[in-house]
Amino acid sequence: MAVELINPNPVIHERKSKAHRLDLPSVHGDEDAAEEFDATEIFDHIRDITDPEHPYSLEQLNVVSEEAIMVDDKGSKVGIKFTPTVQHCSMATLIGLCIRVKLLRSLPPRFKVDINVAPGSHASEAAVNKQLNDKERVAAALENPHLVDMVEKCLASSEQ
Amino acid sequence: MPKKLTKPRPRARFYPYLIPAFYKISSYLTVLEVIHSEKEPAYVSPRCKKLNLYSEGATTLKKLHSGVTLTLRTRASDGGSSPGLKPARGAVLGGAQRPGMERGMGTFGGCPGLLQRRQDRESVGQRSRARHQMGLQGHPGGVAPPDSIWEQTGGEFECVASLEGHENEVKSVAWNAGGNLLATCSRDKSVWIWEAQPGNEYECVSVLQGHSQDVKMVRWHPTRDLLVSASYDDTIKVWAEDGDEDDWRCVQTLSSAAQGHTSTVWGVAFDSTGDRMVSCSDDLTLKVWDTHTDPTTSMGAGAGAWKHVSTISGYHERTIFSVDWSRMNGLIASASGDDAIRIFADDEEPPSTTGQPTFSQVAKKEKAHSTDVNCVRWHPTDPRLLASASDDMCVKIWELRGRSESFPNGGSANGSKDVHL
Repeated sequence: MAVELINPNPVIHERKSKAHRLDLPSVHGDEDAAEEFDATEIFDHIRDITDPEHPYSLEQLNVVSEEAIMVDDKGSKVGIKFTPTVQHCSMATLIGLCIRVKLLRSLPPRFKVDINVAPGSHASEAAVNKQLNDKERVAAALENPHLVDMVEKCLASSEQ
Repeated sequence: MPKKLTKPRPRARFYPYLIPAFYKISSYLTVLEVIHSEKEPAYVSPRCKKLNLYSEGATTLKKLHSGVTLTLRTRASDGGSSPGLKPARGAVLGGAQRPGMERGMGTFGGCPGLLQRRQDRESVGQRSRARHQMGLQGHPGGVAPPDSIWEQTGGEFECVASLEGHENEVKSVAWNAGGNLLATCSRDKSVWIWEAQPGNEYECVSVLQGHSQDVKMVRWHPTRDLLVSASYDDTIKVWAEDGDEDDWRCVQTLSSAAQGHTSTVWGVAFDSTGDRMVSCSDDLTLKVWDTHTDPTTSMGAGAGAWKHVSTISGYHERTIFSVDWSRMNGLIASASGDDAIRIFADDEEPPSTTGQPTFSQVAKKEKAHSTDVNCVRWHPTDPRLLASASDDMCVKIWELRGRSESFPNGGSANGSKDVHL
C-alpha cells in the first residue's frame, strides 16, 4: 500500500465464539415473548465491522468489546465506548460513524445511542465524541458520498 | 388515546387535543422546526445550500384547527415521493386562516440536489422506512380525528427567490421585526444578513464570520434589529448594526466564561419585551439572560449587555434542541432528545439570598413524541397553544389546560411541580 498507515502494526486478537448465543432455543416455550436487548446482541451487530484501515474486524483489533457496551432495554438506551488502536487515530470518527450507522439499521428507533471513545484513548476525545453525538453532524456526514462509500465498505463484512 | 382525549385525568393539564394526521404529508420527512408565522409574505426552505423563498400563491390547506398557523421546516425532503405534493417546485403544507388573524404557511425544501441526496439517505434509511410505515399505520399518540387531516386543496407555493451563498446546509432562518431583513445561518460557520429589495430581490448586506463552528440557529430581537446566533462552538453571539457604517458586528459573545453553556447551543428565544432571552443546549441546561441588569452599558441597537441570571438544570436528560418563550403568558417551553416537552415559569419570589430570578417546572409531557423533539413554538396570540415537531415525522399541537389561567403573567404554580401526565 502506498499510503502510510496510521497504525502499521495493530495487535490482532482472537474472535470469540458466537455459539453461546445461537443455541438458545426458547427456554420457556414462549416464542412470542419479546426478548430483551442486551450487550451481547449489540456486540453481535458491531463486532464484525471492518476497520477502515486494516482487513480485520473491530473485535479483532479490540476496538469494541462486549464489556464496553451498556444496554438499558427498558430505558431504551445504548452506550458504547470504543477504543481506537492508537491515540492519534484519525479514523476514530469514521469508526464511530460506522458503529452509529450499523446500529441505526439494526435497532428499533426507540433506542437512544451514545457512542464515545473510551476515556483516555484518544487525543481529541471531546471533539470526536461531540461530533459523533450531534445528529445534524451525523446527517451531514451521511450526505457525503465519499464518506458513505467508506462506511458501506466497513459495514459490508458485518451484514452477511 | 381517544379515551384520553375525552376523559383527561383530573391532574392532567397538558394534553394533546389535536394531533394532525400530519404523516399524510410528512411521512417522508423528518420535521425539524415549526414556526408560528405572523406576517411574513414569503417563506423559506433552509434545507440545502441554496435558500428558496416562497410566496403563498393560491395555496390553501384547509381544515387545520381553527387559527393554528404554522410554518414548517424539515430536514429530509424526498423529492417526488410525497403523494400529492410537488417537491421539485417547493412542496407545500400548513396553514389556515382565521379571519383577521395572521396567516401561516409552510414550505418544504424543493431544492435541486435533494433528489440526488435521497439516494444516500436511502442507503442509511432502512430503519427510517420501517419508521415511516409505523407512522402510517398508527401514530403512537393515537389516530387523529378525521376532521383534522391536513389536506392540500389545490394551488401550490411559488418560489419567488433563491438566495445562494452558504457553502453548507442552511440551519435556520429568521425575519426581523420589520420584515425587511432576513438572517440565515449554516454549518459553514457563517451568519448572513439579507435585505429585502423591491420585486423579491434579496441583497446580502453582511456575512458574519464570528463563530468557530456550525451555527445552529438565528433569532431576531422582537422589536430591535438585534440578532442572536447559537452555535456548536458552545457560544451565543449577539450582532448589531455598527452605527452609520451599515455594517454588522458581534457586540457580545456569551460563552462558558460568562456562565454560558458548556456544549452546543441549539436554540434561543426572547420574551415578549426582548429584555430577556433563554437558550438551550446539549449541556442539558436552559439559561436565562437579562439585558436589564446593567443599563449603563450599551451593546448596539440601544440594548444593554446580556448577563446570565439563571440556569435551569436537572430536568431534561438528553440534548435540549429547542426552547420558546411565550409572548402571552411568560411560560418557557423546551423540547429535548429525551422525547419530552417541559414548561417552566418564572418564580414570583426568588430566594432573597441572590436576588436572581429562578424558574420552576410547571408541567411536563414525557413521551410527547416517540423520538427526539426537535422544536417547540408557542402560538403567537393564543396562550394555550403549543406546537412541537419531531423526528417521528409528526407535528403535534398541544393545549395547556387547567392551571394555564392561573399564571397569566408567568407566576409560579404553587406546589405543583413535576405533574405527571
